[in-house]
Order: sequence, then C-alpha cells, then structure tokens
Amino acid sequence: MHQRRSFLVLALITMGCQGAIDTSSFKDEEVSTSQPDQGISSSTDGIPALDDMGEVIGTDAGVPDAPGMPEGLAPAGMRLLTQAQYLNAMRDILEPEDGSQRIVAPDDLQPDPTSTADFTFTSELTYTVKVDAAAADRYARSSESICEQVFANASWRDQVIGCTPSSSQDPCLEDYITHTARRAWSRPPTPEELDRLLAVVIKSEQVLSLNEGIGFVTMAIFESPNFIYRPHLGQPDAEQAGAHRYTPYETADRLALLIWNSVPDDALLELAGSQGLDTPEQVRAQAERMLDDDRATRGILRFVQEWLGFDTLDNLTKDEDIFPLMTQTLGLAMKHELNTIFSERIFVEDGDVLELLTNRRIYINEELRRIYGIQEPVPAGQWEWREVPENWDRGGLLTSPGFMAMNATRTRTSPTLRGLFILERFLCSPINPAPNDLDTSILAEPIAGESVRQWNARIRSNPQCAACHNLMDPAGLTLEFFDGLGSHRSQDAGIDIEPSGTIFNTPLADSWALQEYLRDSPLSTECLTRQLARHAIGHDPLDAALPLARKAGEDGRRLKGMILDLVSSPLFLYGTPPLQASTPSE
Amino acid sequence: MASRFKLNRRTFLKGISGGVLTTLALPPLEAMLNTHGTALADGTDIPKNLGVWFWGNGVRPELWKPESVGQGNAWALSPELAALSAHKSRLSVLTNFDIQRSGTGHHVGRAAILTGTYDQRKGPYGNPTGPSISRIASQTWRGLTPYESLDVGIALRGKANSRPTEGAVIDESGSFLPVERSPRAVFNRFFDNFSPTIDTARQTALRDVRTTMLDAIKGDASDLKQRLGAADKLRLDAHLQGIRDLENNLANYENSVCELMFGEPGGRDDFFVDMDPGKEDLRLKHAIMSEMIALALACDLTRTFSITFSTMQSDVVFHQIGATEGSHVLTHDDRGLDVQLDPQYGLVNRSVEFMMTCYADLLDRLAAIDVGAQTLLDQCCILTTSEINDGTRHTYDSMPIVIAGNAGGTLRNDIHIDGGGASTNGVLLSCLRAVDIDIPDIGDVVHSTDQDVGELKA
Repeated sequence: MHQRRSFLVLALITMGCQGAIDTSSFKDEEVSTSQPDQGISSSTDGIPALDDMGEVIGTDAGVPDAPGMPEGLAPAGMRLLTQAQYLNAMRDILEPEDGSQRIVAPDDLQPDPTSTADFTFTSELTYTVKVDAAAADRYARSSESICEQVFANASWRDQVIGCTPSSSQDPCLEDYITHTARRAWSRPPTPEELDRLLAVVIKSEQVLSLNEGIGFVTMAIFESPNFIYRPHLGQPDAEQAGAHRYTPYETADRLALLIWNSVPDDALLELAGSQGLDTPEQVRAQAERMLDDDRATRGILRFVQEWLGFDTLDNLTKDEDIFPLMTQTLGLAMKHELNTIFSERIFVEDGDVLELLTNRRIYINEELRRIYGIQEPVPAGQWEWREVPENWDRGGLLTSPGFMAMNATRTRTSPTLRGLFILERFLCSPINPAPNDLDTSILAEPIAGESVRQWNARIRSNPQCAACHNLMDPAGLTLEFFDGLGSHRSQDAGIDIEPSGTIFNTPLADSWALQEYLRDSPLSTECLTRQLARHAIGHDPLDAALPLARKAGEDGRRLKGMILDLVSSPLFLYGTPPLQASTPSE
Repeated sequence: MASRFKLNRRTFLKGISGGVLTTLALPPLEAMLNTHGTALADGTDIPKNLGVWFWGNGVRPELWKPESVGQGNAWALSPELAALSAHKSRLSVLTNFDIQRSGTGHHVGRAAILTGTYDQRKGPYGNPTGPSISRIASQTWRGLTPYESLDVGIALRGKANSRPTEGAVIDESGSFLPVERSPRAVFNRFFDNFSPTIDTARQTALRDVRTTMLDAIKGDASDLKQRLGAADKLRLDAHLQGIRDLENNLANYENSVCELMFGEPGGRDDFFVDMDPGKEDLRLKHAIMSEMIALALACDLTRTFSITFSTMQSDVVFHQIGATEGSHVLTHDDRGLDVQLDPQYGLVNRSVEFMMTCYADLLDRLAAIDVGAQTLLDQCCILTTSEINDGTRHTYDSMPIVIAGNAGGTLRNDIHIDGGGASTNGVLLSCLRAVDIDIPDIGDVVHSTDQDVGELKA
C-alpha cells in the first residue's frame, strides 16, 4: 500500500490560518522540502487539504483501508450531468454531422450546482446535488425546447430518424428509439424501458400523430433520469477486494464526460458492449482516440477553465473611469487568449502545460494589444500570435491580462487574491477566510497616497493579519507591475513598483522568478495531477495521485499523457461501494 | 372560464416603468367571491401567501431605524424606509430583534434570519441545517397549487471573483435551492400554458401524451432506484417527487382559475430586455419579476415566493446611485476611517434607499390587485430582510426587518416594534403562524424558540 505522510509545513500553514498561530513555527529547514531541485521525494508526498467541515485532512483521512483496495477512490454513485454536458450531449446526438443544423440553447437550462467554498470543481458537486420540482420542470422544458427545434424542421427530423416509419409498429422506429436511448443513456435500453418509450409513440399516434409522437419519445429519452443522471455504480471486483469496478458502459461514459464533456459515440458503446473496453490498455487506447477528436477541446478546456477559474472572465466588470481600456468584450477576449494558449499547448504542441508559466508567446486581438502595450496594431477582427520581448517586466502565463484582471478588484490590484490564486490552484494549499471575529476594518483599503504594496505592508505588520497574509500576499506582490486590468505600470500612487516577494519563504526577485518556482516545484506537478483527478472523478484523491504525479513529471507534464495515465489507473476505473447514508449536498 | 379573484384591470394596462408588460390584457372576468368579498363563493377561505424579500450586506443602522416606536401616527418611516411611504399602513418595521448566536458574519446571519438554524461546522463558513420559512410554507401547501413556489433572483453578481452565491430558499437539509434569474424563464414556466391560441381538443390530446411520457420517465426512475445506494436513492426520490409535482401541475391546470391573455403572442420577446450583467436595469428587472409574482399569486399558481434582490455578500454595483464598487466592498470600505465616511457611508445609504424603492414596486403590484374587500398584499406575510445589520461591523443584533401585509387580517400593520433584544426566530414563527402554519417552534439545538412576536398579532 502506498505510504501516506503529511507535509508538515503546509499543514501548519493551514492550521495557522484557522487560528492565531505563531508564524515562527514555519521553519526554514522544513520549507526546504519544497525546493525545486529536490524532485518528487517522499518528504513531499502529502498535500494537505480541508475537508468540507474546514478541518485539515490528516494522514488518516480519506478512504477506509481495505486490504488491497486502491487508495483515494471516489464512492461509486450517481452523477448529474452539468449544464454543458447536457447541451453537448443533445447536440452530439441530434445535430447532423455536416453542421447544417445547430441547436439553440434553451433559456431555462438547469444551472450548475454551486458551492459556498471558493474553489470546487463542478463535478465534485454533481455526485450529491438534488433535483427538485423546479429543476424537474426545467429539464422537461429544455428537452421540449430542443426537440421542438429538431422535429419542427422536416429535413432535420428525417436526418435524425434516418428512415420514414409508416406506423408505430414499423421496426425502423424501434431501431431509432433503441439507438437514441443507447447514445443518451450510454447503454442499451432494457425491454421494459423500450416498451415504455414505444407506448409514448403509440399514444401519440392515436390522439395526435405519429410524427409528433417521434418528437415526444425523443423528449422522453432526454427527460429520463437515465439521461440526466449518470449512474456509475460498478460491480464488486474479484481482484480488488472491497472496490467496485465500473462496468464497460460506465467506463465509456466516464471517458466521454471527461474527454468530450459529453456522452460516448457509437464506436465507444460498440466496444463497451463487446469486451472491447475491459482492460486498462483498451481504455487507454480509446482515450487516445477520443483525445484526437475535435470534441476533446471541449472537455479538456473545461478542466483547464475550472482549474484556473478563468470562466469568471465572462462577467468581468471594472471601473471604466479608472481603467479606460475596459470594454464590454474585453473579458471574453482575455478568456479566448487563455483558451487558445492552452489549446495550442495541449493539442498542437502536446507540450508541458506548466512550462507555459515561463513562455512569452501571447495571442492577441486589437483590444488585448492595447492592454499588453504592444505597438504594432492587429488588424480589426483578427487574432495573432506575438512574442513578449525578453527585456519586459511581463512574461509568462500568470502575467497575462486575464489572470491579472480576474485576480484584482474592480478598482485596484490585490496581492491577496493573486497570492491565494497561486497557492490554491498551483500548490493545492488553500487558505481559510479571515475568522469571523477578526476586525479587518482598519486596514480594509489603501489610504490616499499609499501604494498597494505599502498598504499591504501595514496589513502584514499586524500580527493577527500576518498569520495568513504572510502566506498569500508576498507571492501576489511580485505581480504589482500589472494593474487591476492587467496593463503594465511602472508606478503605483506615484511610487516606483518594486516586484520582489516570497513564496514559502523562498525569496523571489519578480514575477518571472515566481513562475520559475512554480514551473520547477514538484508541488505544482503534484497539484496539477491532483486537480485533474478531482475534476475527473469528482473527488480529491489526495496522496493517491502521487504515483500519477511522478509519472507526469517524468513525461514532461503533457496533459494528454496525464489523462491517458489517469483513465487507465485504478483511480478512474474503480470506486468504493456506493454511499449508504445520506450526505449533505454542500 | 372564471377567475378566482377580481383582478384590477388597471394593474396590467398601466404597466410598469418602461412599459414592458403593457401588452398583457385580460378577458372579461367573473368574480368567484362571495357577495361580501370575504371568502370564495364556495365558502372556503381566500388563500394566504408567504413571501421573502432578501438583500445582501445590510443597512446603515442610524438611517434605517425609525425614531419612535408605536402604531399609526406614533411612528414615522426612517430615511432609508421613506420609499415605502405609500404602503406604511400595510407594513410593520421590527427593530432590536437579534440573532442570538455568537460571533459575527454574513453566513451566520443569512442562515439564522432565513431558517432559524446555523451550524458553524457545515462548510468553511457554516451553513443552515433546516428549511427557510418560504420553503416550510411551500412544503406545507404542496399539491394545492400548480407550482410549489416562485423563487427569483435579481442582481446577478455574487462576491467578487466567485460564482453568484445562493438565493434565499433553503431546503430541509440546509442546501440552497436555485432561484430563477431570467424573467423569460419565469414567464415560460408559469405563463406559457395561458396561450390564447391553443384549441381545447388538442390540449387534451397533448395532456394524454404527456401522461404517457411521465409514466415512462417515472418507470425509468423506479428501475434506476433499485440499483442505487441509499444516498442516491434519496436523491432520486426527490427527483421523482419533482416529476409527480409536474404531473399535478397538469391536473391543476385543468381547473385553471385564471385566464390571462397575452396581447401579442410572438411579440413576447419585447417583454424582456437582455441586460448587460455589469449594468443591469435592476429596478426594471425587479418590476417585471414582481409583476409575474403578483399574477402567479392572483391566479393561485403558487402561494409562496421569494425575491433575492441581491445575494449575501453581493458585489452588485449599484451604478444607479453612482457606486463604482460592489455592494459588499462598499460596506467594508467605509469602516473606521473617519475621513472616508463620506461619500462611502452615503453610497451604502443610497443603495439601501434604491433597494427600498424597488421593493415598493413589488408592494405596488400586490396592492393593486383586489381580492374581494382586501388587496393581494393584505393576504401576504412578506419577510423583508438582509443577512446582517451593519455591513461595516458585520453585526446581527437589531436585524433590519420589515413585515409587509397582514396575512388576511391576522397581523398588525403600521407599527414599529422594538423587540428589546428578542430572538429573530420569533419573527419567523409569527409570519408562519399568520398564514396558518402552526409549527410548535423554530430553531436548532443551539437556539430555538416557541414564542412568536405578541405585538405583531392583530
């Protein structure tokens, strides 16, 4: 069994931010375990986290140990489709491949579950979220709205059905229903299920028309809990005592949700039904095929967006008096740049995603060019790859306008938000919010004439604030060259910018040094692996992700390779037995 | 077909700011009330309604609290409540009612003021463990109306850099239920069935097919349930209940008591303006939602509602009053720094005034609909509140509370009550009991009360 050890330093950090702990307990010799030159060693093989009660998950948290059972498994259970998966699935099944028809998203799609915790993957919430009457109604209306679009259009309808049934008894109709239900539910319908669906067509043929009936039965397939929920229940496994091995159809579904953010295609379901998806090698081969499909962009970028939280750029708002370069479309442009940079790195170059931290390539339109402060204009409506000069303060992923603007307030920079982002997303080291009884009022904003760095120093000179802010803010301070919109500045409140800082007590000269640290630290490789697993299995595997992290480090942290290793590993192929008690949905 | 209530035609013809819903029209109505207008013609009571109107980040206490206590002429509205002057005789203001729990903070206040419960161990900041009062009402009245409740959200932005947080409706496990944020979605859900063009024979046929579809879906759910672990079984049960409610909706529409005509079907897109999330016309959006809530209550499509005007810790930017920072940031900025009290205290104050102006629009809509001798507003108990008192200090003593409506004559109105530090749980109990939901107590193991607010009783 894999050895579990807590990473002492980070555990202290987290506890320190739950109460007033003396930061002198944060010792240099312990810090040295996270130095970049050490590689992944047993001394760093635990990354602390908070459970949902805000407690540190220690060495003995997680899955109860059963002999031989792989660690870190998620409980087998029923997962709710996310809003994007719902829509993608209906599009993949109902839109013609030639792109001639496109489904318009309905107004009242069921929203994704949200959490009161600041950083949670949506998939982690989909295993517990409950559907109420209003949601059931939304599912009914969405299915109706989409099927109306398809079936009100004669040529689209004919393409979808693939034949012209003469009556409800026509075998081609049963083929259509069976095929559509299998795609939607990731398994063939049972005879009982098929009978119930046929009853809808028969009834409609009697009181309305056969044609309308085909629309209604399609609606029923997409309104069924067999579609809305994805039961990944598994079977008790002979080789892994106490664990459930997901069935081939369930495995197919898990692959499609992760890689395509949608449901499987016919080819994958064929294999699942014919012993073609039984072994880890077979699963890996299919995942490889799926990653080469265009739909993989959808799934993989979904992970990247949730990991780095940049979907919030959709709603970027800034004070336009302070930031005259702010426009209505700027947030979307920032998001497009980040999506494109990742998509290029993952799908075109198949390269190291953490190396992007020290990559100077940027992707800009005219709006972003002005934020970057680059001279040569970009033609209207176009996007271009450019390179940031080496002698600039700017360079590397974190200094892109998107990350700088989203981790700032409406009017100014925030070393705290930026530092927290780095700790939480890249180092899996979340910091608790300020305690309720702590009066933060005196230091809430910079006073007139004070730079953000000076104000931040006042905050950290207060012992009560320092406990947590000393962990977050010094990393964020290295990014002070970039204002609340991500534009470069050389002064703040008339004072020259000073870009130095620290992370885990390691001195940093500037943002480039910070990014080199993150690029080289074994902790960020471990964290990336763990974040990917969290997203994929809806559960934090903690230390159990470490073998995968080692492999990822050796293989150059190529995300596609990391996904292949993950999906063919026990973490993805097995679960613990389904939960027998009710769990709160938060 | 007859309407249960005598709807005041002017409500709909007059329209609302921007004239958005002015294409609504009504067919001739036939009153179904008894001759005194005090009950339905069949002798049953006119239904009562319970609502919650919630906003984030509290008030400026010195400008919120009315100067004197008492009833009628004995008290006057405070500056922050001045926008409600047209309805002073139909509401009550409660001050000095405290959340009797230790600590400070948004999460404690939100949980306790909406549900009377709070568990600090639930999630990083603590959360409720029981249902909000509108949820208690909707579950008590389940099955009596086509829809359990109508829960909407107005301002889209939550705390800065995070997803919009939850609204004001919380289920039995203390989980937040989603609220509708799109007026169009509310319209589709509640009023689509009131189409003037559909023919009855076809409607019946559609209902038959729909029943067969629901049979298939319920069958699928039962089959699936057999395979699940206990935790997932509960989730599927909740879904099944939702499906059953949909089925009831179909049956209830058969006896639909309200007939609404929409002047120009197909022109409906004009009702709803697409708004930029940063610069929404919040007053207009709220007015549209209020109009639909008034219609839904009047037609007895539901008896409970909630409006989350802004969420707990909301960072909505009230550009309407000149703010450039989010509401939550604003309430923090003004703390302690005397030199900065103005303009920031002023901005907080004006944002509360703005919200109360919007709230008055809801009361206008409800008061404009006659229900026999009274108005729809009089049939309501609306708990109007926020998650804290003073955003600057995160305090939740003397919570800001307005109770609108007299719940069919059971509550006193036009009174300012000083609670003397009594528990806010008693206020929740008063509102529930006023609409005839007689629960013995409200709260949890840490704090619970069986005492409602005596002075509030008519």
